[in-house]
Amino acid sequence: MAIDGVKQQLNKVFAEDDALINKKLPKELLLRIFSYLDVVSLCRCAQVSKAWNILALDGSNWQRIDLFDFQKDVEGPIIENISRRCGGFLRQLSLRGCQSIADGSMKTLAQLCPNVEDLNLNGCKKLTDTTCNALSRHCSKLQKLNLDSCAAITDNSLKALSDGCPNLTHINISWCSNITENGVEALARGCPRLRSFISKGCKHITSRAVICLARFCHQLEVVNLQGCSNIRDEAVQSLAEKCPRLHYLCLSGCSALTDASLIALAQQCPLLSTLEVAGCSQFTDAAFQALARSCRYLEKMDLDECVLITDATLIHLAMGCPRIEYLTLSHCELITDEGIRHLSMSPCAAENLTVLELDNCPLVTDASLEHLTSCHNLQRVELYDCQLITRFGIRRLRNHLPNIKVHAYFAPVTPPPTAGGTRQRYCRCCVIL
Amino acid sequence: MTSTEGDDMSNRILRTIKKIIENDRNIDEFGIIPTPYNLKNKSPVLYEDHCIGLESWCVKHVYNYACSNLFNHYQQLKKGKLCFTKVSDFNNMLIGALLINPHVTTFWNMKRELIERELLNLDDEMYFSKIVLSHKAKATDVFAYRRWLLQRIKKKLDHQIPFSLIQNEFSVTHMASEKSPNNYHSWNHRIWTMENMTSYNQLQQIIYSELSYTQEWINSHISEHVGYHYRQYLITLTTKVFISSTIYRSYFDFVVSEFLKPSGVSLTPKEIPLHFLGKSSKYLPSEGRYTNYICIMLYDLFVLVDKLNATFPEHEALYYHRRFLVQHLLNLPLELQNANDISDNENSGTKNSVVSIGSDIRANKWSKLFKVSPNKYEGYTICELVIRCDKKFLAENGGSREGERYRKWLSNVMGLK
Repeated sequence: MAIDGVKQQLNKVFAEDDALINKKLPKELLLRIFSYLDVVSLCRCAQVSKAWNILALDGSNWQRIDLFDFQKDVEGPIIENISRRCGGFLRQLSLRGCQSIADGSMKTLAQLCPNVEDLNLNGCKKLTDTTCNALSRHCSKLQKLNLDSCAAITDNSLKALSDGCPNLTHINISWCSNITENGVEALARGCPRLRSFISKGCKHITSRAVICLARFCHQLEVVNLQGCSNIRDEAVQSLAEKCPRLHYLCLSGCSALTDASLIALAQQCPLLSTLEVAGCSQFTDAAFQALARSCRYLEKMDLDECVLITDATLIHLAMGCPRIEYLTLSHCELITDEGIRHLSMSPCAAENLTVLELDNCPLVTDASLEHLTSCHNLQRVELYDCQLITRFGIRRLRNHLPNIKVHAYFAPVTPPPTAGGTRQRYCRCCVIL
Repeated sequence: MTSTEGDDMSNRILRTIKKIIENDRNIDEFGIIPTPYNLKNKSPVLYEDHCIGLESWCVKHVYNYACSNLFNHYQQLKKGKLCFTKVSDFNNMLIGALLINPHVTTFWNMKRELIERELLNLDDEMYFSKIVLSHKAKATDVFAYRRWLLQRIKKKLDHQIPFSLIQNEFSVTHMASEKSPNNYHSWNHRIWTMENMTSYNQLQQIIYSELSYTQEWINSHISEHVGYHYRQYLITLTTKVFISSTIYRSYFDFVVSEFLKPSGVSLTPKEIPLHFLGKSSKYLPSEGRYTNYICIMLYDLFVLVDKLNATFPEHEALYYHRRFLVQHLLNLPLELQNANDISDNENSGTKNSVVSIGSDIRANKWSKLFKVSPNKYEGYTICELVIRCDKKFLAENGGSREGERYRKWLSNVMGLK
């Protein structure tokens, strides 16, 4: 009986729109509260009562939507419903990983939500140029567009975007392997406000594309050309010359580049803070010397497989770049203890250096580890395959820096406790099966 | 070191293995190399000459790491929350765990799940399971997984299976059979491939090449029962698949030159059964169906077994193959007659006759086992041939232990004196 009573009361509270909370709070305030909720909570609230349903599903609560957590479940009709609900309110939508989305629903979205500014379509593999055409026709306010891994996208998309979305500031076309220099050129002409251009793994992007980009988009700050192996020195030179605000540059895997690129960057881009040049094996000490002299704000450097560099580079970096936090020297086989000694004595080492990757540097010995004891901020050192490093050296480093993570091919001394626990679980599972 | 550092190392090792498998499509072998201590800070993944080795000191850590994380990832996958960047991690762990221990069906099922969600490629998986077999050739789960994959491929190709796929399957089973003696699983897989992956038109040709393959195999693996069993399976298969135009020339030629030429008879392939089975041949289901069957069996009895026994005497497996041949050759005419009697009686269809067949068959069975009269074999050329051959064989090998057992079998079971 008591339960029945409670049920009745509850029914009363939720059935009538004049429940206490609705009486006390005006709709505007409720709406304001709802605006802080995430997608799941909003959907729950929408099931409480008719009044709440209307409030929770009000477009103003749905300006920023991230459906990443539901990537497998998101299908076309969901997008169409969302676009109908949100209409002009929608500013930001992330459909990262929602692979079932197709052109049809994106077309509806573009038509119904003309104010969308930030659209993330990372990994929506079914999308084609049709989507970009619709976006260009209806969404002129689009600023950020992520097309990472939408492999069906071609140059036509970029041409459409350049016509219809002049406000574009961020674009990501990584792994869209159909894109060539023509598409990039059109984009550069149509979107002069571009600040971020990311095109990992687009093999057909050539020097000419990058030169066009540099000529029309002077505001570029972030450029990622990882794996665009056709890029030559002239591209990086013009980028350095025309885009002085560049602070993030990734040229990993552009193995045709030489010292000329780095010297141009050193002369014209003093703001550079991140430089990734993994696999650019033609860079030498001279280029890094120039770089270290002028780019004093460098924080993160990835020099993986720059096989020609020696201790001299480390000496210059130690002197010129006091902010370095993250330094990768994997496969730089000429690095010795001497270089590490200079690095560890530099101002950056004492305060900023947090990650140092030295894997596959065969000349590094325990002496390096001893030098590194002065780097108080160091949190992680990679030492895989440095065959002169011993267990003893690692133990000594750890004594000085107790919180450091040292990664090497040494078996952990005691078996990890968590593994023991889960192992039991695994056995039980096998018994059940 | 703390647990996370061991994990990081394991993760790196798994990534290295995956990368090697991805880049080298011709890996011959995976193995675990006993190294109780690692004194140097050196990668435990060795890669040389298309072979991958894993130093044993890290096996414990890698396997532990994989096992303790796999279930987490799997649950996320089930809920649809495993983001695509983690799928490759998941697969790396599965690869590591299965290479080390391929006997965990649960892990193979996780792989199946990934394939059903189209997150893995069928060809890659075929290649991976081959590498696993190079490590543990007797793992049933791997063969089961391969069969599952093949069925999917078959469906995908709409039953148009290219010959190269079958050949690949045969070469994989060959590798597995070579790696581990008496590998029942691999031969079983071969039979499965014959039955499920081949089309009826190809089968005749495949049986022929398989016959010569088994002959070679038997020559070098004299006491492996599985090899003989497979050959016996092939021989019986010849009667089930039959296209009249396909005659196995080499066996037929042998029979002609050995038995027919000397007595001045010349026959077309279709007349072979008539010649050897005499009066019972009129019950044959179709003309020439048994030609290959008879020719191969005669070849085995007179050439293969004889020659091998002379070179490698006293091998039980070889004697059993001889028993198979003798029994099937001797019983062939009788069986044909019996089968025909039954169908005749069925055709007549009266109740009485049905009862009488029952008793007939029972009487026949009894007689086969116990009071066989040697004269039931009389009148058939083939039986005379076999009996003559056995006499000669016993005269040469009668004294040995196996020979004695064979003689007893002949007199007690087959009813020959």
